[in-house]
Formats: sequence, structure tokens, C-alpha cells
Amino acid sequence: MPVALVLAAAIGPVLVLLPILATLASALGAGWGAARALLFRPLVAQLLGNTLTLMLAAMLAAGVLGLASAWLVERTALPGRRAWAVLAAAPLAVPPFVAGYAWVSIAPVFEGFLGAWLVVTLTYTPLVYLPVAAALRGLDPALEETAMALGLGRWRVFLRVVLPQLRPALLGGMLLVALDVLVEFGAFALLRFRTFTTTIYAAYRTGFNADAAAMLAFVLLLLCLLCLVAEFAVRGRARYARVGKGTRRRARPLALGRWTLPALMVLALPVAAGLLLPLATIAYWMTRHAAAASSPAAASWGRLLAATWSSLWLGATGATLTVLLALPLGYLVARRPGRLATLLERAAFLAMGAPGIVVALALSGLAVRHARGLYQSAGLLLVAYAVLFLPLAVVSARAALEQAQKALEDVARALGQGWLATAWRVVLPLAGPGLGAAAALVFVSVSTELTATLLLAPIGTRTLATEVWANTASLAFAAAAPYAAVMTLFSLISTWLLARRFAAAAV
Amino acid sequence: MFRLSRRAVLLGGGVLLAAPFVASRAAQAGTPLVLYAAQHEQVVDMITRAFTKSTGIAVRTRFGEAPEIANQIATEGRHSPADVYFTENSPELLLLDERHMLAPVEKSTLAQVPARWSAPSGNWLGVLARDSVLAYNPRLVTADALPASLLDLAAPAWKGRVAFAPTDADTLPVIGAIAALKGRAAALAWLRGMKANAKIYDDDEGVIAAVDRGAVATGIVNSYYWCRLRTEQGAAKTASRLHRFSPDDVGNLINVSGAAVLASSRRQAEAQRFLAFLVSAPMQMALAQSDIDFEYPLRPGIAANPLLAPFASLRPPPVTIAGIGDDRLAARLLQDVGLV
Amino acid sequence: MSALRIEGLRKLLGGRAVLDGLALDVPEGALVAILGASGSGKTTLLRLVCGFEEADAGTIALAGRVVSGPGLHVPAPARGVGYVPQEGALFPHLSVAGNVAFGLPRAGRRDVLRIGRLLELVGLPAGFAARSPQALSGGEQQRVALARALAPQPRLVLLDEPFSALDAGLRAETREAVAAALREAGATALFVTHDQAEALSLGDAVAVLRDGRVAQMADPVTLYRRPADAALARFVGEAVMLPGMATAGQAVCALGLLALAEGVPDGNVTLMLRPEQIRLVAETEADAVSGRVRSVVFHGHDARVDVVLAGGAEVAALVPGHACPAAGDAVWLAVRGPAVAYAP
Repeated sequence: MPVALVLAAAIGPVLVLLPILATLASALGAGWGAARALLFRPLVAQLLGNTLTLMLAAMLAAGVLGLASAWLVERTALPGRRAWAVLAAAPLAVPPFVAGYAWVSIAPVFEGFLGAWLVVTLTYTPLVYLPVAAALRGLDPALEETAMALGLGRWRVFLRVVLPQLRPALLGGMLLVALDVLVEFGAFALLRFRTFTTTIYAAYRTGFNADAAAMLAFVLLLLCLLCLVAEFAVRGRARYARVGKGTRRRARPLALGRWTLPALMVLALPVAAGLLLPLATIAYWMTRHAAAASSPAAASWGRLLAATWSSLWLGATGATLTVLLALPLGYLVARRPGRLATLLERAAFLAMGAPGIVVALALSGLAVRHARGLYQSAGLLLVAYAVLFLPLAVVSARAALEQAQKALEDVARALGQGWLATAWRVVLPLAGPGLGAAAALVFVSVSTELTATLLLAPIGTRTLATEVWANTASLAFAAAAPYAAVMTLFSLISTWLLARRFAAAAV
Repeated sequence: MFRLSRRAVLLGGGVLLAAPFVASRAAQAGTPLVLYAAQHEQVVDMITRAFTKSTGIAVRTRFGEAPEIANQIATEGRHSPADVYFTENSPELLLLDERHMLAPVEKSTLAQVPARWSAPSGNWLGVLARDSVLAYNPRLVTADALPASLLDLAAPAWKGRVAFAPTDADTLPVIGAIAALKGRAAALAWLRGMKANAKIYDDDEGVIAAVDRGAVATGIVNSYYWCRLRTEQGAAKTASRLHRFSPDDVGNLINVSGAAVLASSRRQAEAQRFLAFLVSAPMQMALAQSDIDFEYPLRPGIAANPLLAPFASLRPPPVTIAGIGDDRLAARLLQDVGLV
Repeated sequence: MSALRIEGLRKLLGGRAVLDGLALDVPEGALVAILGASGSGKTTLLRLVCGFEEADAGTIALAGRVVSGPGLHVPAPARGVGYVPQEGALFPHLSVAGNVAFGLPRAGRRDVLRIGRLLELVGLPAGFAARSPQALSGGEQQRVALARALAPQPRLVLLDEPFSALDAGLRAETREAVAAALREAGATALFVTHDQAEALSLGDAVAVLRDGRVAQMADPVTLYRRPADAALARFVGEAVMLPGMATAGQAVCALGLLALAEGVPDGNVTLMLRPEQIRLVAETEADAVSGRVRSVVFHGHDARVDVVLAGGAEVAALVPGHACPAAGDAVWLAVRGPAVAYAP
């Protein structure tokens, strides 16, 4: 059984490594001369400048905002604290390219750096807020009280006692923001801000720049992997130990007094700009839909239904495949930890550093050469989804399996049940709810995915995301609105699920 | 109850997982004619529906940007599922022809349109034509301040006042034409100027919409996009106007929208029938009279959409289809200046 | 025939031999306690017998059938061994009945009478069947776990520290119920414990694990009265160790002339007495040895008294609570029963 288990567990990581290695290989295969010509040119410098500037700006803004929100929610007597705890995470519900659509449809002034910075900061601040809030909640207030008893003022307690303990969560969150800025494509394309991803897409569209695209993908991939390694180093294994720590005494909340209003603004403004504004914009364009602006194809209920169905169907299938691939790996890591399990798990996590556009291009290139049957099939698109969302599924599957005691499996086996019967009668029912939640998360991620879908969708398949994309690209904002509305609805469900799990873990 | 739901979940999952593979098998078994189209979806949908209605032959269409699709066909090689390629511009057709991937078009079909709009080799067919123009927003720039030549837009005076979609399939032939008429260095210099001046968009739809809403003063587009916007919004709501450069200027380039049968197609007869259908009088008439396609029918004797300037009044630059080339030079130049 | 026969069993964990040449023979129908300190390999031994892990060397035979040996590893489901893990580990998604019936063939899983009988066997009312495991006390959970293990009528049942998680009151009660159920079911049972009182009171035989093997296996009385060596004597109960000189079945030591439990060659020996063998007596009693109380640990019903003898040797005596001296008192000691002699 272990050999079969290891083999099954390895499928996912191998699928993740395939596009990464193929991209590296095609870049290295271009030869030094060609590589130098393609790497050391003004475009690459400009893209690096654009990307890194935006990345740093977003990291800083999200870091400050996320830390401030977390501290306000967890440590002060803020009115409506519980509601804010959920609302602060809510902008995550708006896919960045939908937010991009919203901003660019308001005024052209948001095109370029300003809009890009706003969108990624607002959308990704929860990536800092969530872990920092959890870390704050996990801190023993006795430490702070001891420090205060030793004569330190509040501010110095924060700097010398609280902040050092939040550092892994804060830096880890900020690096996740950086990673997401690197891999984001749709929002930047719609906001006309040039980064590596948009330029790779442009190179792909003009068709005859395979080497240039490969080289840009190579640089982007390296940047992403760098971020990922930094994130691993900062967060270490803490990433897994987040759930179920039990309650600690909550620190006595700080009365805000005359600072209440400014504090409320700090929390309310990002929510307003990151969640309400996109929703309001979609609603506005919905009312204007009758006046249909230029749309690449006639809008109709049939089209909306077809796109919704495609998104649902791809989401369901993609989630099933991804969770199936994640299960043996999660099981291996949870039940037979060791070097091999860690190695496979790390390999799967590499997918977090693999931009959708790079994965999609590499997979389609591999398929056209080595797997013609898969080429242009929904199957290949599903594989791309599985690669992109494997880390999400593995983390959840592992957590679900770790919650099911191993002793229960021993008992079942001693009672004569083979591993299949054990899986069916014991593991599945126990880990089922957790796996279901994992599948739901992957489902929503897939059904709102843009980049890989854009490049790999089989003939005639249009999803909500590609419809929003196609309409917004030609500035047909009203035509995009119904698709964006349905998609945001999906996304809100996922955030609600996340928030609920987060809340459950915190109680 | 729980066991039942567990089973149901697994069963459902299994069916779902099997479906995409089954579906693609089934699709192969039915083998409709496969069309790779870089033309506008609505136009292509209109054509394929009419074709299926008239011949009973089903058509499945893959849409994409022209060079992307052409490159895809080139990559797929002999195994390409495509039977017919229908695109907005000549260069990609030229490229596939150079690679010997196209089958000769039937003589009787070629005879339906003037020879200069089809491939000299006879391997692809000109179907429709569109012309390049400068769209402008009168609130931001007056008509008399507009340039006489496309090349003027690279001058510092136009910094931040021109929109441009360098990776749109309609733009690449313009770059190719500049290189053919003025030389490679001039084309490079122009692109450098445009890189400094222009607001970059993904495609002509983006350019025309931006000009119309006043985000930018002028934009290089095909007249097609302005006519479509004007049709959808109505005259009252359309702020933008069209400007034609001085006669014979490269900015007045005419692009040919053409079609070809893939040499690798196993359905040559049906594919040829599709080509013949494209240039048949009823189809050309229907396209010209529709409010979704704003191109000049190449079949003689059919009047174009009234929003378009009369075909005879156009003063295109003296460059041949072969002169425009196959986009590879244009792509190379874009790369050299760092636009891609 | 032996219900379980183990020879030369060896298991490496992390490069260390946790079990190293272990041999064990469990007769049919016996209830054997495996006693060992934590880390002595008790649980590993259990997991090897169950088949959860593979041995590195040696053989395991169940009722004469080899299930583990060179090149052979019968997987757990095919061994038919009952297993009761620590803290019971009931399936939280199943009712008590679902748990008990888990190992039965599909047809037997709805046999209400059979499930009721099994519950009664472990001393629970049949009405418990519909309850959920969360609604049971720790002792009840443990009994349900036993009923679940007994349901398929295994020849051998293995229990891993079955009572360690229970508090003192429940522990005694659960222990009795489990022992009774096992006897009634006629199963051979092996249970692992680190609690010597539990091992001695419950087991027909006790096997002490040390350094990866069985240091001694004997009935509880023999194990307590005649431990095989000094270290075992200290491990099983409290021991008073004194140097002495043996001659002709007797030995002289700081406590005077003592009878020996069994003959040893004449010469220097180490003598082992249990504290309860040392009594406080009147000064007038013959052979009384004098000493001074250094400290007293009072337990209520009895007390442990540390006494420094005239010669400087120190011994511990267990005295009834009502006759407890105070620290500093002068006392006289006498020994009852024989001492065990070991080579020095």
C-alpha cells in the first residue's frame, strides 16, 4: 500500500513540476546568446521596474493597513468589533480583475499605476489582516501585562513585545501579497498597467515571439519562486499550526475614546473601496445594460446562462480533480510524515509561485508536442486548474485528515477492514466535512479563474470570467456587468466559507 | 442517510471527471467542420449559421486573436484539427502559405473577387476589406490640428494624445507597410516615438472606446470599430469622428480579411464549399447590409455599409499584400523597441 | 498450544532497537500484563502483534500460525486480533451500536440482540446502543471499545494502556468489568501498562519489558516475591537493598540473621526485602535491631518510615498508620519472611 500511496501522492506534485520545469527548460534551451539578447533589454528593465515598484508599494500599504486593522479589531473596544472582523476580510471576495473592471469603468484616471496599486492593495490586505489577527489572538496577554508591570508604556510594549511576535505572520502575509502581485494578470491588463504577465500575454497574442515569451516567463517564475522561498523561511511550519489552538484569555480591550472615529475610518474605507465600490459599480452597469455599449457579441440570457453553466461545470470538475489529487498527498503528509512526504508537499506548494499564464502556456506547449489527445480539451484546462489550486486543496485535505485520529484507522484495520474499506468507512466520513470545504474553496477559485481559462478553454467554451474579460477589454462595461455580478456572488460564498472556518478556528 | 450521500458525492464526482474526456471524444466522432476564426464572433456566427442552414454542414469555431491562431495552426502542424482558417488580415495567411500549410483555393471561387485581393499563389481567398483611419474626439482636438500622415503621430507634439494597440492584429500590417514603404529604420523610429507618446491598449475596441469617452484625443483604428460603436450608441451619443490621412499615406492602409483551406484538412470538399459560400453574392450582400459587420465586400458590384466611405474614394498607400509581409518583421520591430 | 508465541523479535525505530530479540509465550486463555517503563517498547510490541508495523527480525505466531517472520507480513486486517487503543478511540461518527458492530460482516451489523449481548458482556445496559460516543464517560467508552474488539470473536485481544486515561474511581471499576468480560469471552488477552499495581492485580501473568526484551514473565506473586534480579525488584514494588553474607541458606546483614527464599552459594550477596516485611517491634523482642527514625511519610492507613540503623545503613519500613513513630524516635526493627539474595 505505501508504494501505491506514494505514487498516488506524487501525481499532483509531478503535475506542478511539469510546467515549471518546461518553462525553465525552454528558457535555458534558448541558449546564452539569445537569452542575453532577450533578457538585457529595456523592456525587461521597464517590466522589472513596474512590477517591483508596484509589489513594494502594495506590500507596504497592505502591511500597514492589515496590521492596523488587525490590531484595532483584536485589541481595542471598537464598536461592532465582530462585524468588522468579518468585513475586514471581505474584499478578498472580489476577484482582482473584477475590481479592476470596476475601477477602470469609473474613470480613465485609474488606468495605470494608481488603479493597479489600489486594486491589489484593497484586494490583498486581508492576506495580511487574517494571519496577523490570528497571531494577535494567539498571543498570551500575560506577556504584555508582564512588560507593563516592568514599567514599559503601551507603545513600547507594542514595539518590543507584540510586534516581534507578529513578525512571522506580518512578513508572511506581506510576501503573499507580493506573490499575488507577481502572478496577477487580469486586473493589470484591464487597468493597462504593464507587468510581466500582461507582456507575456501580449507576446503570446502577437504569436511569433515564443522565445521572448519564454524568457519573460522564466524571469517571472524566478521572482515568484524567490518570494515563495522567502515566505517559507519566514512562516516556516507555523503555516500549519494555525488551526485549533484553543481559547486564550482575551486581552483587556483598549478604550479608543476620541480616536474611535478615526479608527472606524481605517476599517471602513478599505471595505468601502474594496468591496462596496465594486459591488455598486456592477449594480450601476447592470441598470445601464439595456443601453448596451459596444460588446464583442450580442448579450443575451442564453449567453449568460451558458457562461454560468461553463463556470459551474468547470468549477465542480476542477474541484473534484484537485481534491482527488490532494487527498493521497494530504494523507501521506498527515499519516506518514517524513522526508519524502515533506518533499512532495513542498513541490506541490511550488504551484503558489507559478503564475497562471506561465502554467497555461507551458501545459499547452507540452500537450501539443507530447499529449495530442489532451490538446484543446477541457481535460488540459482541468489539469491547469489542478496545478494552480493544488496547494489550497492540500492544506485543507491535510488539516481535515489530521483531525481524524490515526488510532481509529488502526482499530478498523484490526477489525478486519482493508485500506479501501477503512478509507470508505472511517477516513472519509471523518474528514468529509473538511474535504467538502476544501472542494468548495477550489470550486470557487476555479469558477472565477481567468488566465488559464482564457488560454486553455476548449473551442466554444466561455466562462463568466472570460466574458467579463472580453467585454471589459473593449470597454463594454454594461455588457460585462451581469457576468461580473454572478461571479462575485460565487466569490462571496467562498469568502463566507473562509471566514466561517476562520471564526471556527478562533473560538 | 450519510452513507447514501457519500456514495452520491463519489458517483457525481466520477461522472463529472469522466465527462470532459467523454465530451471531447464524442465531439471528435461527430466531426463537424472546424473553423479557426480570428474574425469577429458575431460576424462569424452569422456566417456559420447561414452556411449550416444552406448546406447542412455543422461548423465548430475556435476564436482567437489572428497571430495567436495562426501561430497555433503552425504549431499544430499536420495534426491541426482546423479545416478552415478565416482571419481579419493578410499577413497570417501569407505566413501559413510560406509554410506550405494551405491547400489551393478552387479557381471558380478565386474568380469571384478581383485577383489583387487574394493570394498570388492562389492558396487563400480575399473575402472582405477594412481600412485604417485615425479616430479623434473633437472635444480634445480640432479637426484642423490633425496630422497629414500617420508617421506624424510619433512627434513629441502628440505625447499622451494618441491611443494605439500595438498587439492588435490590425496594427501589425500597418507596421509592416511602414517598413515596406519607408524602410526598417523609419519603422523603428516611428515605433519608438509611439512608445513614448501612446496610451497602449490591447485592441482596437479598447482604442475606439477610449477616444469616444474622452480618455485620449486620438487613436489609430480600423474604421470597422468606429462604425460599430456608432451603430450601437447612435449618432447622438457618439462623440468621436474619423479622420483620413492625406492620399497614399501609409495610415490609409487597406487590410484584407481572408480565408484558406488547411492542407491538412480531411474535409477538403466541405472546406472549399465554405470558402465559396463566403464570397457568394447572398453572403456578401448579407454581410454588407448587416449592422454587425463594417467591412467592404470584395465581390464586385455589392455596395458597402453606408457608414463606410465609398470603397472607390479610399486612397491607400502603394503597397502590395506581399509587401506588407507576414507580420514577423512587425513583431520583431515591436520587440526591438520594447512594446512586447 | 500457545495463543501467541514470539521469538527473536526485533524492531528498529529511528535507528534504535526498541525491541531486540524479544521472546514471549502466552498460553491460551491467559490475561497477560506487559509491564514496562515508558519508552520500553510496550506499544511497539502491541503494534507488531496487531500487524500495524513490520518487524525487522523474528517471528510472531498466533495460535500456531506464523503471521510475521522472514519475508512474511500478514497485514492487520487478516490477523483477526482484537485491538483496544488508548482512550478507546471510538468512531465519533457512529453510534455505540455502530461502533460495536463495526467489525462484523455486513449482515451482522443490524443484529440488535447480538450488539445488546456484547454490551452486557462488558457491563453496559443494552439501551446504550443508540447513544453517541460523546455522551459516554471515559470508562463507558473504554468498555464499548472492548465490546467492539470482542464482537468478531477474536482469539487474542490486545489492550493498549486501557485504563491510564481514567480517574482513580472509574479505573478500579472499569478494570474489574474489563477483566470479567475478557474471562467470560474466553479470549486470550494481552494488555500493556506502566502501572505495576494494575499489572499485578489484573494479570494472570506479568511480563516485564526491559531493554527490548522480556526480563521476566511470571505470575504476579512470584514476580513480586522473587524478582529475577535487583533491578526488577526495584521496578516491581519498593525494595530495601542491603549487603550481606550468605552461609547455608541464611544471611547476615545489618538487620541481623535472615532466612533466604532459596539457596545461594555462600559468600557476599545483596539482600532484597520488601518494606512491609520490616516491622517495628518492642525493644524486648528477640533479635530486634535498633535504629533512629530519619523521616516519615504518612499515608493514613500506613506510613513509610525511613530508619537509620546503628551501623549507618538505611532501610524503609511500611508500618500501620496507627503505630506510626515520629522523626527522631528510637525504634527497634525485626524482619518477617525470607529475604531474596542476589549476587552483589
